[in-house]
Parts: sequence; C-alpha cells; structure tokens
Amino acid sequence: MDTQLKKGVLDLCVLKILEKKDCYGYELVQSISKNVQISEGTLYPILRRLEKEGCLEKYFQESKEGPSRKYYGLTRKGKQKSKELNQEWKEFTKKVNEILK
Amino acid sequence: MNKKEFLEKLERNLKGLSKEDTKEILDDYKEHFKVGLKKKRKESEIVESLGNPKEIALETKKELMGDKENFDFPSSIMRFFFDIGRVSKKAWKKIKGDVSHAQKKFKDRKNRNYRRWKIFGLVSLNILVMIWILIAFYAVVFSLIVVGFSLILSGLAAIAFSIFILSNNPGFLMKNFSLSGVFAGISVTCLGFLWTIGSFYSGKGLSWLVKKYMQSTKRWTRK
Repeated sequence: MDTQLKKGVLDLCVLKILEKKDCYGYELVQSISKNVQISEGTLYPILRRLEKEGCLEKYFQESKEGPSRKYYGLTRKGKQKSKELNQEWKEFTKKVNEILK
Repeated sequence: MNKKEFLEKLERNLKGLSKEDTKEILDDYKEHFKVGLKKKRKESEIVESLGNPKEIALETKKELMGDKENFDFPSSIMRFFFDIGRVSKKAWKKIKGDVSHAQKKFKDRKNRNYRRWKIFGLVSLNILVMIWILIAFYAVVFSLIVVGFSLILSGLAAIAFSIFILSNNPGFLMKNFSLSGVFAGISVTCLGFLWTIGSFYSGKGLSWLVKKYMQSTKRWTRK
C-alpha cells in the first residue's frame, strides 16, 4: 500500500475513533489493529505526530484498575482535520469504485 | 525478545530524535506493556504484536523528522556522513547500471552521461570539498567561542587585579588607574558574554546551512 495513502487513512481512523470518545493509547491501538492489518507498534508514532500537529491532546486520568493512564482527546484542529480527511476519503473511494465498476 | 530487549532496541534505534520525542515514544510503549500485562497477555505475545522495534523506530523518525527541533548538532553530522554513504552507494549502483545499460543502448546517451557526471560530481564534491570546508567552518566557530571565553576570563582577571591593587591603599594616580581597570574589566567581560552567545548562534546557523545543503544534494540525486 502506498505509504502516503496509508498514513492518511490511519490518521482518519485515529481521529474518527477519538471523535466518538477519548481513549487511552492501548485501547486505541487495539481497536484499530483489530480491523486493519498493521502491527500495533506503528500507531504510537502516528499518535505522537498528530499530537505535535495539534490535532490531539493528552491528559492523565485515573483508571479503575490501578495507576493513571494517558488519554487522548481531539482538539478543534483535530476535528477539522477529521472532517477534511473524511471528505478526501469519500472522494477517493468514489473514484476508485467507478473504476472498479 | 522480551520487554526489556524490545525497549532497549527501540531506544537505540531512535537516536537522532529530540530527547522529548524519544521519552514520549518510549513512555507510550512502556504504558502499552503495562496495560497489556494487566489484561493478562503474555509479554512475548505483546512484543510479537507490536512488531519489529527497528522498523518502529524508522517509522517514528519518518513521522517526526523534518521538525526543526529534532535537528541537533552531533546527529546532523552523523546523518551527513550517512547521507554521503548512501548517495555514493546509490551513485555507484547508478554508474554500474548505466555502464551495462550503455552497452546495450546508445540512445539518449548524452542525457545519461550528464546525470552520471552530475551525481559523480556531487559525491566527489561532498567528500573532497565539503568535509574540509565543514571542518574549517567548525574550527572557525570553535575559535570564536574560545575568543569569547578568553574575553570573559581576561575581563574577570582585570577586575580581580584592579581590586587587588585598590585593597593595598595605592597612591592617587594608581587608585584612579585601577578604578578604571575595574570598569574596563566589567565591559570586557560583558563583551565576552555577548561574543560567546553570538558564536553559538553562528554555529547554529552554520548547521542549518549544512542541513539545507544536504537536503538539496538528496533532491538533486533523486531526480
């Protein structure tokens, strides 16, 4: 798969999941790697980049089972980016589907 | 591979990233292990599903490099030599490929020759000229910093010496003389500080130039 494309798609997945609810890293990684064929390790670099771009914010919260965990949430910029990527994805798949017809 | 080995290998391969990024990334994986173990997964199983730490490190660098803050002095020099190595390897392959290619085809010869010589020229330019220019530049920056330090030191020495004379109850002329010595010492020290700061910044600017040069080298050879 084209890395540029894959990167955009994974960004979209991360942003979309966080749009529904804030997650901690492990949870997020699990829910993506469950559906998409990638090794779990590749997602943390993406999270870090998105955080640095200002799309995500991190905060610590107590968990029911033991020590506090690092949670990720969307910023306004993240929501904006999610919308843009979603739009791009729709257009892209539409075009591909037309070819596949 | 266990958790410790995984984290060590990851850290080793993350070299070149800023300290902050390295710490954040390592913390993320440590937490991943912690949560995974709590969910009763085996350590080896978690390591397996995370993937190869070397590849993760490479991926991380790809994601996070290009940031200015990730550019620091020693690693830039390392990368410079690494780039030279890579470019020369590429160029060598290219030259070899071109030679065997040229035996088969004669079309477009001019163009290929041009590219071959461009790459070859760049590589030799890098190795023969750039290294020496770089060394010379860094030597200049280094000596500038040394000058700054010696200005600071001599200023401090002048202050100390003048105060020493003042404390020995000198005559009228000597007193005025050493008083002005104190002020001269203070100004020389300040100048030294400014000089040192300036030299550091010129060093930074220089490494920026090197970075730009390296980027353009890469771009030229890729085409």
